[in-house]
Amino acid sequence: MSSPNCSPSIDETPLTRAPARPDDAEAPLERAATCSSADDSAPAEEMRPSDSSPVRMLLIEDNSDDAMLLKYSLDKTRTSFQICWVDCLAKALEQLRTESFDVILTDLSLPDSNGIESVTAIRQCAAMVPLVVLTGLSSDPVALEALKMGAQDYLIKNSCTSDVLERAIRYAIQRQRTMEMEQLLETVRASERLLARKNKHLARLNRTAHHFVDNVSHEFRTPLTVIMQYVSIVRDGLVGDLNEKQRNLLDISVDRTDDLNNMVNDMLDGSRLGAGILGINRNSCRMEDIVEHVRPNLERKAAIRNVTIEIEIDSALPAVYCDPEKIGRVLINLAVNAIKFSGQPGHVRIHMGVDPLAPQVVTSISDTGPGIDPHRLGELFKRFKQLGAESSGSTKGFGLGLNIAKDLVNLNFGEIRVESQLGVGSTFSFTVPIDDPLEVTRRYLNQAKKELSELSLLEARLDESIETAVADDVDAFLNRLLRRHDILFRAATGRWVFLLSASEAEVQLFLARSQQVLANTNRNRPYGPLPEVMLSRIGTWRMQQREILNAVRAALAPEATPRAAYHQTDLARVADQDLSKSGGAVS
Amino acid sequence: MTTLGRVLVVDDDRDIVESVRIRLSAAGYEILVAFDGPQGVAMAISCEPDAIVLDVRLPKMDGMTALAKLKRHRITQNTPIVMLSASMFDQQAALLAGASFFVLKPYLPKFLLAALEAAIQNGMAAASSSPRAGHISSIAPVASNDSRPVTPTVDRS
Repeated sequence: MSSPNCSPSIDETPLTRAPARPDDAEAPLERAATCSSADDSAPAEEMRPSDSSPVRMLLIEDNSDDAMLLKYSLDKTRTSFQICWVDCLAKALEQLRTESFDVILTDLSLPDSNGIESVTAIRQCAAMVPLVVLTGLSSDPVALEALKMGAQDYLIKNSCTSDVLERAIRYAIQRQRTMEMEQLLETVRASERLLARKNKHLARLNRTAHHFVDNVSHEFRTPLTVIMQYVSIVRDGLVGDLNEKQRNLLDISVDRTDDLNNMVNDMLDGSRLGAGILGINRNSCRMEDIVEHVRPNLERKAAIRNVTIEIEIDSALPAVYCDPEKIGRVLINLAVNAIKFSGQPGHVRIHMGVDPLAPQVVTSISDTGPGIDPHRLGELFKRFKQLGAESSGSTKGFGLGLNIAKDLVNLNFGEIRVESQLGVGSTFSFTVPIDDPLEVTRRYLNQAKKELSELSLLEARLDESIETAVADDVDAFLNRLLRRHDILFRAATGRWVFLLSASEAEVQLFLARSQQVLANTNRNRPYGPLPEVMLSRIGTWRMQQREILNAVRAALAPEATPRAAYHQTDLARVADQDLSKSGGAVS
Repeated sequence: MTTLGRVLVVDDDRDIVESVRIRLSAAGYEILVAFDGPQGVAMAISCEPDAIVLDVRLPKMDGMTALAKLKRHRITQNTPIVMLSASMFDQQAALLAGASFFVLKPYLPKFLLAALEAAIQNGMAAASSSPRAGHISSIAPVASNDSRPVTPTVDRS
């Protein structure tokens, strides 16, 4: 417990002066460096209470008689002291650098330092150790000065009893602790203030971001509104008759403007994604229909660039499960890319077929472009990467296309990949699962494995026999309830099954939120409220693939009976709010 | 001539005003127009239209302020108001402040027409009974069922 140069000695034996270091022995002033420890002496040990650990004291005193006297006084107290005695400031500082002490007791006049300098030096070296100074005078101005410099107390030599000495030391330690506590508290308060400031700053940033999105929304949507309204006014013949061809062209214009509006919604409502609301509408659909929707657009774009486009779809493709609008956008993104990079004249081939190895439809888009350096293929799907940007000004974009395409494919439980050969061309391909709820569930479980803990199944059912158009409105409404890791299957015209990443308690929150969304929707639905939808929880599982698959299979079985006996929440009568999304084309 | 009613359209974007005017005229409404907040409020009070189509972002006085003024004024407090905005964030505030419907730009013409028609009908119904007995109150509370025992499914880890 003592360092080698603090050899035990004091106590019963007369104070022995051991050289602190062999090479110090010659220095007459430093000859008396001795550390004494009460613990090291057996007889002393017996005299002391053993229930508390000794107070570790550094005693700085060049006068050995004074040191002995202090030691003697301290021995008589109930407190156990472990004293390290040094006779000059240099040694004291050396000790303070290597050892830790509970208290320092120092004479003010030392051989190598005098007066307030001693205090300053000690405080610099050990700012937090309680310090008591010893002085010979009853009203020493230096002692008072020492208090200002951070000493806790001063004692007048040879005039204090053991009790006074002990109390002074105890109080010094206590005062120092209180001070430290206050400093800590002050630090905590300062951190609190800092956090509050940062929080405020973040809130302001958040508001700014919100405001920005709001402004941008406005900038985009206002001209879109004018275009959509004027085109539809002309198309509807409100300002003059149209022939068939004109009406047809304007139909396309409205449709394309609607697509553009959807893109604006997706980009600007990214904050909705952040809030966990998905904005995706997956359903059973046919790849052929998706292609037909985008074909005229692609053919026009290809013709402008003197590129031929060939679309080949294998016969008897099964239905797929995806958001047709999103997958259509992926197809456009990849095909437009292919057209851009094909060179002139170029050729783009789109092929769709069933994957022989997995229950999915593969769409591949091949171009006759320059190809992509294989080393750079990995970067391709990252944000703001456009590898060929330097090649021609007319093909510049923001480099967001491929990144968005990848996100959209993943949202639909598919994968995107690229093969390329320099000088020959590139083939981008993406997959979409066939419309098999079990397969979709499997992919969902694989994709979200790490982020999910519990899953719940919910059934949504329309009580009455509702006409299909209204059921479609309900479908659109239910899709709007989905959060990032939720999916919805339509089991029949008026029956749906939700697969939610939610515990039993979270299902209640989901139901409450559904109720809220329904209320808001119906509040702003001029056609009147949506029909009553019964929501009931089927069950909740931990991530157990087989059980979840069985449950999904059972829930989707056509003979599945109404779950009236289960927890039921009627999403009574409300409606569908933004028809601009669910309604499709202008009518 | 008979019309479905007189509608005041308030929007600073003259193209939007024009498109609404054409669409609503074709549907059989008589149209009044104003291009900023104060003008809109003044015309609503002096002309007493059957309904108002009010944009949120307006010069001089924004649409939310105009809405509040109109809802406080003796003459216009029961006039149905359809709010129009390009920002989804305005919907909640507009409906809470007493708008009959909120229409997000860009909108389907049929949605605006349906909103206007329903707003006028509700306005007439409200005038003959209690003030604005909206359909909100008819929503069944969902929380009452929350404590009911649920399914026999068990979590096994």
